[in-house]
Amino acid sequence: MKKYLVIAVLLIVPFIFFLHNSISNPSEFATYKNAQRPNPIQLAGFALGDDDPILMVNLLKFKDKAEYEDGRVTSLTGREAYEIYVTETREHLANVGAELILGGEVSRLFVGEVEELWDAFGVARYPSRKAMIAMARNPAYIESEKHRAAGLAGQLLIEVSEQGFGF
Amino acid sequence: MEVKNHRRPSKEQMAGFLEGDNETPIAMVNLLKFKQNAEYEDGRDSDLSGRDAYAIYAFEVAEHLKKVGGSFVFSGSVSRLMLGEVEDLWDAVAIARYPSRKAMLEMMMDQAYQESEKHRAAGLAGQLNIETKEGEL
Repeated sequence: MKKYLVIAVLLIVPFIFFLHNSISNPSEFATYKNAQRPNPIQLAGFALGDDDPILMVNLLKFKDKAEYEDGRVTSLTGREAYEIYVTETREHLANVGAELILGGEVSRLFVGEVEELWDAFGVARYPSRKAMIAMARNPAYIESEKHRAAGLAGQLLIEVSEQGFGF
Repeated sequence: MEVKNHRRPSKEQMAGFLEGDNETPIAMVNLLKFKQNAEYEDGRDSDLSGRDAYAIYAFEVAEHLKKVGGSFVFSGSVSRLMLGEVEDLWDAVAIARYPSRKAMLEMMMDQAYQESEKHRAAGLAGQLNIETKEGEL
C-alpha cells in the first residue's frame, strides 16, 4: 500500500507541474440539449445521406423512474427500462447486420465541462443508413423501443463516419 | 444546458482521476473540435490544418497506447447529430481503451508521448474526454 502511494506521488508531481504550465480553456460555453426523438430536419438529413457504414455514438441520460407512454404501471428505474431495450435490441441489430461495438457507464469527465453529465454511452455500427432505417421500421423493434422511451430522459446521438479520419 | 470543450484537464479533474479505482479497464470517449489552422505552442511555422496536426498525434499515439496495453476502438469524422442539439458540433470522435487509469497516466508521463502531444495541442481547439467503464449498456 505504502509503495503504491509513493509511486502515485512520484507520478503525480511532475504531471501536475506539466499541467500547471499548460492549462488552457480555449473555447466558450456552448449550449446543447438532449432529445428523445429526431426532429424533421434531422430525419430528412439522415435519409438524404450516402450509403456507407456508419457508427452511432449514443450519450444517454436516464430518468430516475421509468415512465411508459402507454401508462402501464412499473417499478423499474429509467436505467432498468433502458437495459431491457438494449438486451432486446442486440437481436434487432443483428437482424440488419449491425452490432453494438461497446457501451457502458460514464464515470466522469476528464477534459471539458458539461452542465449535466450523461449516465451511459453506447456505440453501434450499422452497415448502412438503410439498415438502420430497416431496423427502426420493424414492428418488433418498435415494441422494444417502448422501453427506451420509458427509461430515457434524453440523449445525443452522433453519427460518425469511419472514413476520413481513420488512424 | 451548457457544454465547454477544453484542451487539458482542470486541477480538480486531474485530482479526481487519481482518486479511487486505478486498476480496472476504462474506455475514454473523445469528442474533438479542431482548430482551422494548427498552432504549435513552441511557435514553429506550420501550414497544417488543425485536423492534420491532430492526425499526426493520433497516428503516433497508437504506438504509445500499445506500450501501456491500450488500443483504439475506433475513430471517425462526425457527419451530423441525429438526436439532440449541440451549438458547436464536434468534428471527430475517437475511443481508446486502457487497461487502467494507471496505464493511461503512465502513457501521459512518457517523454515520447509528450513529444507527440505537441501535435495534439497544436491541432485541437478543445474536446470532451469522457471516462467510461464498459459493461452491459
